[in-house]
Amino acid sequence: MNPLLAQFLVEAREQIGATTDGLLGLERAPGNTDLLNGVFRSVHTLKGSSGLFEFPALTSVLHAGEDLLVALREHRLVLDPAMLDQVLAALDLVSGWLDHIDNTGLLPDDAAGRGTPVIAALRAWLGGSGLGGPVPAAPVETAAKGAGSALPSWLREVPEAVLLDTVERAAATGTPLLAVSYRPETQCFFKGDDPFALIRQLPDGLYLDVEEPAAWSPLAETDPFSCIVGFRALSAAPRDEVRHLLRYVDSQSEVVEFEAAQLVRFAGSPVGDPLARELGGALVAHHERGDRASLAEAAATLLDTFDGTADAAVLRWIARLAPNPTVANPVIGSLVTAFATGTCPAVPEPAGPADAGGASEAEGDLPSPVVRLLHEQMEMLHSVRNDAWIGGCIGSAAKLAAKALRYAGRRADAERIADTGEKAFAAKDAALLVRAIEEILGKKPAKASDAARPKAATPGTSLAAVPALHDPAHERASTVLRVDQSRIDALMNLIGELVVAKNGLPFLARRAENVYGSREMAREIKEQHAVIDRIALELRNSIMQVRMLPVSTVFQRFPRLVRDLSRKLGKHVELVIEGEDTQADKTVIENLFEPILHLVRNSLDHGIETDRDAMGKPEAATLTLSASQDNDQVVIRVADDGRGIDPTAMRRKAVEKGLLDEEAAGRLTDEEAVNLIFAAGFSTAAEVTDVSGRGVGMDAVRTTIEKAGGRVDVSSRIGAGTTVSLHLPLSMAVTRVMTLSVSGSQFGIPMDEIAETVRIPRSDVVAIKDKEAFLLRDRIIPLVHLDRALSLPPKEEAEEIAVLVVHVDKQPIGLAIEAFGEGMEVIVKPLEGPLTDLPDYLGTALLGDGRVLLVLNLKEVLE
Amino acid sequence: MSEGNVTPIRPAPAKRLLVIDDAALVRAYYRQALEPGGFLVDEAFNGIEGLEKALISPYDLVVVDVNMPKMDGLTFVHRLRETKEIACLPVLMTSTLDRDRDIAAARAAGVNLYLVKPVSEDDLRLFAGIMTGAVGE
Repeated sequence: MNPLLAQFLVEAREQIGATTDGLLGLERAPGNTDLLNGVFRSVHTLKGSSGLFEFPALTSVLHAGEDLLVALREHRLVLDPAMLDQVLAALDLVSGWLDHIDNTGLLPDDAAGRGTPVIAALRAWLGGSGLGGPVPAAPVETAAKGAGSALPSWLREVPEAVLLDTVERAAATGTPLLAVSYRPETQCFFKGDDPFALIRQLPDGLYLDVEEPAAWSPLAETDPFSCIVGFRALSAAPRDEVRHLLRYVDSQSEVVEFEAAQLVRFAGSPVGDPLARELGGALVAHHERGDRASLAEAAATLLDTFDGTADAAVLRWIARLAPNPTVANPVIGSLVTAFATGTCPAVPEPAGPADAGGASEAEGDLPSPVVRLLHEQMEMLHSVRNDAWIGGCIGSAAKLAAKALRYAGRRADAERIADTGEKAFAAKDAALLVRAIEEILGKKPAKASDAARPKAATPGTSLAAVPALHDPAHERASTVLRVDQSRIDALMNLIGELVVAKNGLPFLARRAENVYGSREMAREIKEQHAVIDRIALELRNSIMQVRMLPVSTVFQRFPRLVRDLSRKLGKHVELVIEGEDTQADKTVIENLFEPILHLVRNSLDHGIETDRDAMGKPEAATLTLSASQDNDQVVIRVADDGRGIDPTAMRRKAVEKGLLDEEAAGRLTDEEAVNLIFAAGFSTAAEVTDVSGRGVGMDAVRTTIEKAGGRVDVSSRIGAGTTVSLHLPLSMAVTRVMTLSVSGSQFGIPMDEIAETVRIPRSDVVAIKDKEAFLLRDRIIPLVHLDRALSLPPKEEAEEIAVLVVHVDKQPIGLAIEAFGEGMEVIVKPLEGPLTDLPDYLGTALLGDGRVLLVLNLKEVLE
Repeated sequence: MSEGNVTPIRPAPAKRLLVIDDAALVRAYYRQALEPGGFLVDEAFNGIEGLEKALISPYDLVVVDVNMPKMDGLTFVHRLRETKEIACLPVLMTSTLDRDRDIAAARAAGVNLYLVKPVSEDDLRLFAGIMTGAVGE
């Protein structure tokens, strides 16, 4: 398969998983914008990457889903369960397609046909009929919105002293300033973003401040892994440089260009003293003479008189800016006029472009879409290399630039661009047009902004004080390696073979001694065996670590299932998942889903009552899925707080079914009676529902788990709930078995099942009816002759019987055998082909000397 | 260059757009977004059909996708810019491709504005409005 496609499939499945989780989370917390954004991003990324391949149906379905999410994000729609059902159904469809692509490299033939209704269902929400449909915004509103992005309102919070510094520095270069606001996504750290390091790299920074959240949550509830602050900064760098820096966080940041003069701001009461009008005359005179020094002096003198008013603020600006020869005359002039006429604007309103004390139309702010369009035209003219179409590019760029300027109300500039455009078009000279656009954007062709670099710390956090570090974290590639499962499996098989081959060494050592008569050689072989043994063990443990998966890979499928099932059943169920980080071998994990699904279904269907109110229970039932590790076992528990299992009813049912007689049923403890649900053929769903509400396929669950080398327990209290525990080995790849011989044949028994080995005199065996038993530490243990159980020819019995005490269904049973063998680690391979149906054997294992060992399934053998 | 003889500005207030996208859903989305704003929307399902339509009717703006069968968006823009009668037609390209080099390729082809999908209806109306001169002229 194309490696790109393989990568896509892996990521697509992850994204579908993340989307499903997010959607289920959203159902519980509909207002959670982070979740919604996460879901949107997953779907968007998935759609984007699907576009790289020829899966039009897939992309279209995702596109429809994405559009719906966009509507949710923009609050045009509200998530409701029916909508969620459809989105989840769409994800299921996509999931199925991914599997098909995985197998065949192609979408199924009916993909387009099946996709269409799903898309239609998703689109129906967007259709605008009924509630919550999108209302098309009037173009006027849109235009207003576009033009409204003048000065960001946060500039009002910047201290005046910082503004004074900034304006003075910017005046020295004459370049426009950029107001940068950057609100990192809450989850940005998980994408490897380092917002602070990033914003510190802002070129030509003049001011940096942290945007705090509206309200700080208590420290204990604050998630240190989410980013809750934003940044605000001022920069004198060219817009392109800043945009380049923020190119990966484009959607999280806003860059607004404005003239330095727009920062001139007057704090204090807006209406000045009438006295100022008279005194202002002197300032006007100084200004008209061009005597900046006297102007500054006069302003400083007047400051004492007007302390605390807006007039004073104007005077502060004059006193500060007048002595600086780089500050343009019109700026000073507008300040003086403002003071003299008493027209000090209070504070620039955030909504409209601020009129900076009478700045000319040409210096006013352009709406950001217009600026963007103009920049795009320049970029395009820069990049076009082909003479054949340069004319068309110039023509269209000029036309657009003129239209954009007209939109911004700059008719004179628009005419200028149109004229220049015609000249550039005729001469095929793109540079001519680029220069004209640059002039309008107020950008000097030569870069003079270096002079604007701040030299010392300012009352705001100066960027100069925090040197821009080049953060290697941005380049660091992920250290996680994706490896195809089959490769790990191949490695695991090889290690298994190695373990088996290693088992051949003791055999070789014996031969060295017995056949070739070299005791020395035998000893050396044994020593070497010990070394290889240790390495093989470490190797095995390492690769087992690689194969370890968290239980969450199985558990994560359940929130969705439980939601769907409980909705279907009309029951309100809270799913609680615990210990999902518990790890177990991949094969074990893979075997878990079906049994857990069975148990969850049973709980939901039969365990959880429909009339919980009447029982005095909370309306929402709780279903708990938990995982934990117990020595070398992983324990999975499925617990509900439903009606529980009634042992009396179980006993009665067992008798009715003819599984037990009255007396035997009466002897069962409650626990044993409850465990009857695992009995094969105990019941079918319909019959059990009226008894205990349990039993669907429980024997199937038991069989599956036991095949995987585990066991199942159930405990229940009437009215309080039922807990089913699955105990599974952490790893199934290598099994420790004990070999034994019966009637001259060698067999293996999993070590887990063996309790102990004893030798008992023949005389200690007592006959009970037609069965035999023996006494072990005051306990009567039934004795089974394994040769008879396996229908092997019986051998003459010795005076002392070798007995293997095993536990089957927690019951000790003695197995009379011919001789004990040795313990070893083997890979048990299941029987294949025509042998599959032989229930007595778990499988076969290859021994070190090349023989094949049959490993017994004791439970079946003893049935 | 004069706007009059290259692509005549129509006296009617309605601006004409040509939407070229192989996905009918995408075309429908644009239609839904733009028609309420007073635009006249025509559709084409690939670059070839787009060129044919652009040569027949005067448009104020072409909105074109990148990935399309038969003739993709970039080739379409190349041809458009080479063809004298329609060379100066403004082009808005939209695509889910958001890598720098995709955008650079679009610019080099002569695309006037590149918006990464999904383009919100607001953005679409805003830029279509500015680029056609529907707002401000």
